[in-house]
Amino acid sequence: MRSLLIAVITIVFLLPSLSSCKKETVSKDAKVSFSFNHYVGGQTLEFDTIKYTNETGNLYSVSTLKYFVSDFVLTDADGKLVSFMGAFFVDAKEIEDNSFVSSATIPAGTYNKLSFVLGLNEDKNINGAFPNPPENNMEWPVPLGGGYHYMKLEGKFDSANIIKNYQAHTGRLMENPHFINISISDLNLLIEGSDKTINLNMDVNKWWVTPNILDLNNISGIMENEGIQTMLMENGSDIFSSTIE
Amino acid sequence: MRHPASLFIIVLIVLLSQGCKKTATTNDPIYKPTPYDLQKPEGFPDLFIDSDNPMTVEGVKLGRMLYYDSIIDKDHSRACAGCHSQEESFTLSSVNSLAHINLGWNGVYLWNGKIEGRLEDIMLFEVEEFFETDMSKLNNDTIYPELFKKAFNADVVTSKEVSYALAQFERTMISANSRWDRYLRGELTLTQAEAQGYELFFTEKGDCFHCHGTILFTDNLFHNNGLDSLPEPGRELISNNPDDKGKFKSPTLRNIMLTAPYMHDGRYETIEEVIDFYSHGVKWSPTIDPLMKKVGNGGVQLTQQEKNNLIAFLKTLTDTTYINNPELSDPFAK
Repeated sequence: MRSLLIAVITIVFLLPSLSSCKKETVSKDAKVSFSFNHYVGGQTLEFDTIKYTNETGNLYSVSTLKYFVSDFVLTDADGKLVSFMGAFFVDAKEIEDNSFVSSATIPAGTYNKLSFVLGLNEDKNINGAFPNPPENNMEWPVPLGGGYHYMKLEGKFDSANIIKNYQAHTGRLMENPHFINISISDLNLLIEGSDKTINLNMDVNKWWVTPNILDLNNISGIMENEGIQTMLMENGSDIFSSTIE
Repeated sequence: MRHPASLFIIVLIVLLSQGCKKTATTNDPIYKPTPYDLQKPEGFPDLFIDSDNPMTVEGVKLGRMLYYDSIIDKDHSRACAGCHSQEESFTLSSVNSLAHINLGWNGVYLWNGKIEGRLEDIMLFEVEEFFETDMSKLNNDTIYPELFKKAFNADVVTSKEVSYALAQFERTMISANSRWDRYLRGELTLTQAEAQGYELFFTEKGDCFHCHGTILFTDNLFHNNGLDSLPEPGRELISNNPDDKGKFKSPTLRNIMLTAPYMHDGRYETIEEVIDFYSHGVKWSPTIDPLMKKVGNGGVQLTQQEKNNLIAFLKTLTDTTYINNPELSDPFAK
């Protein structure tokens, strides 16, 4: 009888604490993955085939698409910011490796805006910051300002029945940074407990249009061309759209 | 009565097991190889050394001996050093072998990248397929079994231990003391010709850096540089991808003045011929690398003065301490 009494008292005292434990473990925070995907005019990018047409009418292919992205910031409905300040390297050919998971969880809430940098800001664009492959092969020569290529987009195109090469290489030219601030304001990311993936979809065709219509005949040997670097920087601001999974 | 009997049995087991241990220690010593402190030069990429083949003094010493010993050849006629002479920066002009230099940072090997992975993987290929090493020769040799025992605790030598020893030695084959390296360390200034050659190399005028950039002077990637309008298969042989036709691995330009002839087939005897090719002789083919910007003009169109400056810069990549390093030399030399 005494044992029964002790058991009942114990259960009575433990019940509230058990229920409070339950409350503490239910968190609606979650992690977010940023997944980079590549398209041309709505079609999934297929490398090394001259089949895409840009605004100028160039029939072109893509053989290389490599770039840095960095400094991700999510903004919620109240204007609160969640930042991920690392830098990531994307090689569009390595489809399995182009997804990056946030290092920390994101507080529950609705996030309407995502901003990030295509390239590296001045704090990150430092000689020797990425000594290992594949990132080290993005080095931007010291005589041109040093640091790293933000992007290497290369391929071939048909110019009046002559096949030519193009190389859209962007980076800091001397003191002019040229990194691109990407802002997606219709994100509609709802964090309520389960991990989410933000698909960031680059449309390669947008590099050649809006606001500057670019002819691939002029996209060769452009690393020292301040005018083209600026135009690519301007065109790059709307190259990404997003979907949530 | 049960307790004392159990105690007796336990004591007996412990004593027997101690006895076994002692016998093993006496007849079959376990060697603890001495860790080898491999120093990574400033600015070089990280060196990835798998824990299954740590660098040891004994392993490096053994690898060096094997590198110079034709015992690893099935017919006893060739050694690694036979095609990789130290005075030519571990290449050999007569066979146009790729130079052994800073290979610890490679991930792809041979001109077409037939072997990918670690140094151990390419060395295993050399041991098993190139040299077809007869392991019985090594196992019955008068000196090697003890050296393998000390380096790897190997009672029987297999191709794994041979390739691991060679890989350890090759990781020590580091060149980072050229005139260029000393310039980077602030120990000297470049001449005007060298400095102008450097600018040519690292701008799109000469445009060498895209394939021969980084501190290693190679991107370790594959390119069709426009040698032929009908290129050889190259990388295509390995990948079976027609887009890889004519692509070969970019070799390092460190010690380039010591490693003639040039290109995968050794078609150019001198560095002047190579620069003439990039200046005026580049040919179009469907898989030519998009980085070959001036193919429509035959190349980058350098003047004679620019060519001279570029050669002056390339000469700064020569590392004479590497080719005279006694720790890399033939240990059997008298």
